[in-house]
Amino acid sequence: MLWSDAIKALAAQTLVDGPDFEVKNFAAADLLSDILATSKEDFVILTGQTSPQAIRTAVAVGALGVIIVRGKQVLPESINVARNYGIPLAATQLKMFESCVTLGGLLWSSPSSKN
Amino acid sequence: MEFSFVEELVHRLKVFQAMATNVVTVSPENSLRDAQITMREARVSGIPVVKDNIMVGIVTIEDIIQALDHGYIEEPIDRWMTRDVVTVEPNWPLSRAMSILDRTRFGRLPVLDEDGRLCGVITPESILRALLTELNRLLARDEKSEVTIETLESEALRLRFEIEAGDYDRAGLASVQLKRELASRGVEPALQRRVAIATHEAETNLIIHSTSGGTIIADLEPESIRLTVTDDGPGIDDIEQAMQPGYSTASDFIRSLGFGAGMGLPNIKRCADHFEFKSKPGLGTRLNLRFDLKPRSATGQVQPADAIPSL
Repeated sequence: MLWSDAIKALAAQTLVDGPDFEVKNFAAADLLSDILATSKEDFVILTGQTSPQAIRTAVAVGALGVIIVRGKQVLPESINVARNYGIPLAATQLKMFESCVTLGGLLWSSPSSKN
Repeated sequence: MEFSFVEELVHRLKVFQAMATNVVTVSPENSLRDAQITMREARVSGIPVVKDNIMVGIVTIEDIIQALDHGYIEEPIDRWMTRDVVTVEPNWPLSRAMSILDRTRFGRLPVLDEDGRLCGVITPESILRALLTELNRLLARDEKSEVTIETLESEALRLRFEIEAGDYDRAGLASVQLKRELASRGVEPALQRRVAIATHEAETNLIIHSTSGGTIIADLEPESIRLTVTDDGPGIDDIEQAMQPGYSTASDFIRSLGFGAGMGLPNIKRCADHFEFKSKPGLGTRLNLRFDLKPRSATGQVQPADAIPSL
């Protein structure tokens, strides 16, 4: 699916914009340690962590974008880091589980990105 | 127990960083009247009594009130001062001094060095000032880490990152800066990612566990990238245990930031082509990593690790 499809499905607010791209997978975790241990490719991170550290972790593991769940207030500093490293950032009001269910439904119904 | 940010801060700050150093003192031969005048002029409620640079007692506003009440205000301080003074040491964590203040309800704690010389005083005001200064410093820092770049004789490029202990705010900064540097030099993305993950784990370890921070050196050589991570303490007792996925000694505060899940070392090992880890309690820890520029598999991608619960 496209990043823009994910944003639309989650009714997420875009905080840092960029050119649209294909998402093949998602990594959902609040533990940055878990995110650092993932071996996924072409993926977007779903997390409840709003700190600049979370964004840097996303950069380190080569995530294509970050979506912050549970309607948490994102620190301006985090938005700056995302902009600085060119990583798209969005925030949704949906809880982690609801976000995963929504995206899973989309991801696995679309034949092009079945994994 | 849950640790708030301020609790973590007062644990990290040392007494000498939070004490007032321009301390007004009196000598034991002075009269209590002299002490009263000095206190009024300096606007303090207690004064250390010092003889030959050594603190011999303390006189407080309560002593002065008693002296005025009972008519001995002109007598020497020596006769009426408190000799059994609760003191603190400059290298104690500030939290320790704060709990003494809290328990004793004293208004001040003299700070004595190992020779008994007075080097400062801890008061609620000095603590507040130190906390505000530290918060300001943390907020004012920008997105830069202490990185130096030099070219070695072997023509390898050396990046050196100094990592501060307890500097959670900047966790991951060395990692993303190194990754950016690798990208600008045309290192392939999968290798960039492996190096960045290992660096991230290593710098987080230094921030959380090292006594006084540490150094990450990245040497960009023609055939490989070498990472050397060093600190001088506290060192690890049981290396085998530290290598166990999920084993961690991190506090709840650190876990609340999303770190400290105990997967750092196994994750570093997974990413590197060569992994060497040495540690001795009391001496420190040294990590030598090598990443080969030729991909280790057909794709060169990060391999899923059997030992690590992966997303």
